[in-house]
Amino acid sequence: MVTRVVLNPFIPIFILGLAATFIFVTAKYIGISNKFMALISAFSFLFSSLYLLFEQQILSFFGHWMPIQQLQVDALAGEFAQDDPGAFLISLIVLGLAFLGSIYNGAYLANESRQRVCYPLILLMVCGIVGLLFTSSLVNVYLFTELMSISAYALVAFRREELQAVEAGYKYLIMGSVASVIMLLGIAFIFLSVGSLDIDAIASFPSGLVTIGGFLIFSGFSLKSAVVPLHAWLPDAHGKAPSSVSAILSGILVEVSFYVMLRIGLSLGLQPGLLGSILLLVSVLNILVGNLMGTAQSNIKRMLGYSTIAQMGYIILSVAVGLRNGSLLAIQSGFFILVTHACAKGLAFLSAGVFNLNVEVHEIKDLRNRTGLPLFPVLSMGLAALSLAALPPFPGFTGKWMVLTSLFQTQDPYRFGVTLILLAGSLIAFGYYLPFLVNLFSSLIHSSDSENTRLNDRISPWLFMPLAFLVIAIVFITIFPQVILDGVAPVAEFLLERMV
Amino acid sequence: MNTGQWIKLFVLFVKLAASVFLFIFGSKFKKRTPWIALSASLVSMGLFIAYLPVLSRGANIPLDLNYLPGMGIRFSLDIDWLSFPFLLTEEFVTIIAVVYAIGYVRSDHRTHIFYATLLLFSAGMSGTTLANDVFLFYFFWELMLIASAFLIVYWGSGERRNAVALKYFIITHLGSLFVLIAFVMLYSRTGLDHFSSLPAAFQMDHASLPLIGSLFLIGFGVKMAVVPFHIWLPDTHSEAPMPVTIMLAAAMLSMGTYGILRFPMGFLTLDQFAVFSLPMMVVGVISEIYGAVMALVENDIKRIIAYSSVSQMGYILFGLGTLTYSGIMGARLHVIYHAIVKALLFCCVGWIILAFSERDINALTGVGKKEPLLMACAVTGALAMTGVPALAIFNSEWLIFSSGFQTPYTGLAVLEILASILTAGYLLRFIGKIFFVSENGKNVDLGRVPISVKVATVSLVVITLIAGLFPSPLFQQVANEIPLILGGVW
Repeated sequence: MVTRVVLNPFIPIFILGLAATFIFVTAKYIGISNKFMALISAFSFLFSSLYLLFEQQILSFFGHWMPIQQLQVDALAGEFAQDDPGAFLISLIVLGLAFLGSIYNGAYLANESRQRVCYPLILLMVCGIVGLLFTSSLVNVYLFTELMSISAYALVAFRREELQAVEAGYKYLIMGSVASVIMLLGIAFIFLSVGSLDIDAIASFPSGLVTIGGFLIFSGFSLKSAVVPLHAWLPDAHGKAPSSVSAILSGILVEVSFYVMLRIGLSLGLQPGLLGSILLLVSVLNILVGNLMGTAQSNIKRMLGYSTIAQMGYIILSVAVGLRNGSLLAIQSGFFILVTHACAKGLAFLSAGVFNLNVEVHEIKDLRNRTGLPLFPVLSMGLAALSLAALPPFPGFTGKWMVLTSLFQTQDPYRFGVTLILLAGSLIAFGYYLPFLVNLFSSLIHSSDSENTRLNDRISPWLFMPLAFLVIAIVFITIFPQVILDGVAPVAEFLLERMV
Repeated sequence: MNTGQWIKLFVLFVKLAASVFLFIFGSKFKKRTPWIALSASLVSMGLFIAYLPVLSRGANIPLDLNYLPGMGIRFSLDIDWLSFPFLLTEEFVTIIAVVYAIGYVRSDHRTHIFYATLLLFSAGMSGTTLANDVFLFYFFWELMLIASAFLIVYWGSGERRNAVALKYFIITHLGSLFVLIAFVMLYSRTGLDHFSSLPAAFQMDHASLPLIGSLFLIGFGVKMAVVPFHIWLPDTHSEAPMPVTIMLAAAMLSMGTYGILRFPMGFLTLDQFAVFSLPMMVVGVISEIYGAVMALVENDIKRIIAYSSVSQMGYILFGLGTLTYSGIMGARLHVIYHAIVKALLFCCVGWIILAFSERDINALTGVGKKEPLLMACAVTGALAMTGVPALAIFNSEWLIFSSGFQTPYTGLAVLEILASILTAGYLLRFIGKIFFVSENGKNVDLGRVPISVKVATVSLVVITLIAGLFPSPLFQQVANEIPLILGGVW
């Protein structure tokens, strides 16, 4: 009998860590070009995601030459959960965004002086995310969260010559550390009461301390997933980080924290109804605060940051409705929004980065009749904004349609109130997306006849490829939304099974 | 797919494809850009007309494809007699607007984007009427809003156009959200969004019928711009470029009528819908009077005709609200006739603005005599709008007025007729002041009026006359399928 060898996610974590070390060391002592670093990290992200997807095929392929079956994997077996489809889905999105971000960095970071810090930090951050998603031990949860967060703090403050970037990083550091400490306290409570750190084992020893510990962990992760009123760090951090990093931070990192918080909370036996009600309240705040503050922004990336808070609200809302009523469709639609938001927000940040880089545009009003704006990023930013503003038929709208439908199917007593908040939120969102789109397209439509005001239709292929890929992804989801809906179904089922 | 299904797809996709083509390659065609847009809209209209015999034979099969099976959402297109007047209006008005735009819109490097967006706007309206499922309907419903808002932002006149477009977008979108809630409430009952599944959903949700009905009526009422939801209309119509104003006033407003006919009236029975009868009639009369009074006191000629739309939509809502055969028939006919005449009046307004570079009616006193052709067109338009017999609108107004007396509320019907005097009032003020007051000695420089503007205006006059003198073919087509709505009472 052949035993099924599972090295996920150990190999991806190992590869990412190795690549980080390799880039840092070679860049420091030998000196390699920016593009080479970008390629190495892109390759490691690509390989990691392929390994996650095709582990069995890869292992049986290498099994012909190597005695993989005899590999001593028992030591790892208890540390990582293998059966979590959500971890698979989200880590694939993370790796995908990081892959695109690395290619993008090949041109985006070309004129920076400290690339050799940036690439390893991104690799370590993603390494932390993948570990965090798969781990089944609370101590690993803490370790990987710290790996992820500390890299993120450093990345936010990457442009250390800019005072605001350092300030944003520092703010993120302070708030994030408090969250980590609270989380650690929760873990300590649980260990005190149960004497084990294995998440699934704890669930069978319910006690008051475990519940308290669970809520402490829960609140720690709430900060990392930008739950209002713990969101203050987000717009600064996402606004000031390099765009390729913001794409990962905003597109998926906050959602990672949310997913882990959800999984741990459910596994520790927190009541789904109670959890759902808390999340419902929080999501309403997120939608209102994110959208209202978004209307007051003048900086493109800060506006996108507030939009992330609002979008987190939609995701949390769907999941909360699902938890309260045990609705599969609601959770499914939450993850549908998660996937589409990752694509759209990633695309928006990457496009905004091209504006920063090529024409030094940071403010929304500077887009107006601006000469020399690159054509393709204008269009891709438009697509991303249309999807984020939830205009049909773009996936953002399909997601909201699903949430609303599932809400009415569940007969939740708060369905009318929640519907009103959700629709009010998307109406307010137009208040900033519409002027933004008008300013964005003004250079496309309004520029006068003379040659020097025409849009610049040449951008570096390193920048173009990630944008084009995400555009294709969004168009694909627009035309075949069913694929994503099917893809997230196992995640929703997995979470529902965890609800006791 | 059979030929009929292909035709339905192409009625929509000809315009969408032409729009995309113009967006991408339009800059290479320069002066020929409008002709591409014109041929696309002509082909679309031609295909639609060519499909009518199939419809008469009863050989109509909806186009039905999977889109999101997990949510029961389909991609489904259909033409039926219920949507016939609206699709006809919309296709026809697009052609007029494009012809008008050839001369009216200054040709520059961004002209192709104008025509592309105009076609997108038009495709949004076609799609709304062609859609056979709720998701698709809502998509096209929003598409026409977005496209028209962008046209106003980038081609509008006046400094306030950004604010006006935002106001237009937010208010109309708010209306759409009401419709969306109603859709979602219905849809969540059955999990299917095909129109054919809606009656079942209505039956399952018997308790919340009044709520759903009101959501629909408010949502579509915003699009129709009846009082008190009209606040977006006057600004929007006066800031938009004239071809867009023509499309907004003549075609887009009646999409609200289509929504009311299709959803609440199409799927509820007469008994269930009866609660809405009186409110609709009252709002109709109020709109009619309010629009007419505002048109009387307004000085900007574009705003005068814009307020006239509020007033005319009041007639339509009144006709629908009577819940009688002749009332609904009259409302459906009024959609077509109002489109023709309103397009004609806006064409004349555009002509006046081009010729005299002036929008204030007091400054225009007596200048009209220098343009005899314009005078003839404007007088025909104004008389038609007033409801003079033998000009189109008389027929539909007759039906609407008479339907009022078939209801218990004869007082309202009398008020409705009396209020139409106000309509005559503002239109006579409009033409009287511009064309019939003796000149005050000023010498006005005549601007050059492009031939395409004249062609569009004169052809509308001809169509007004034909529609008024030979109403019977249109009557027969419009009367089809009315027996099916409101639970098949007739």
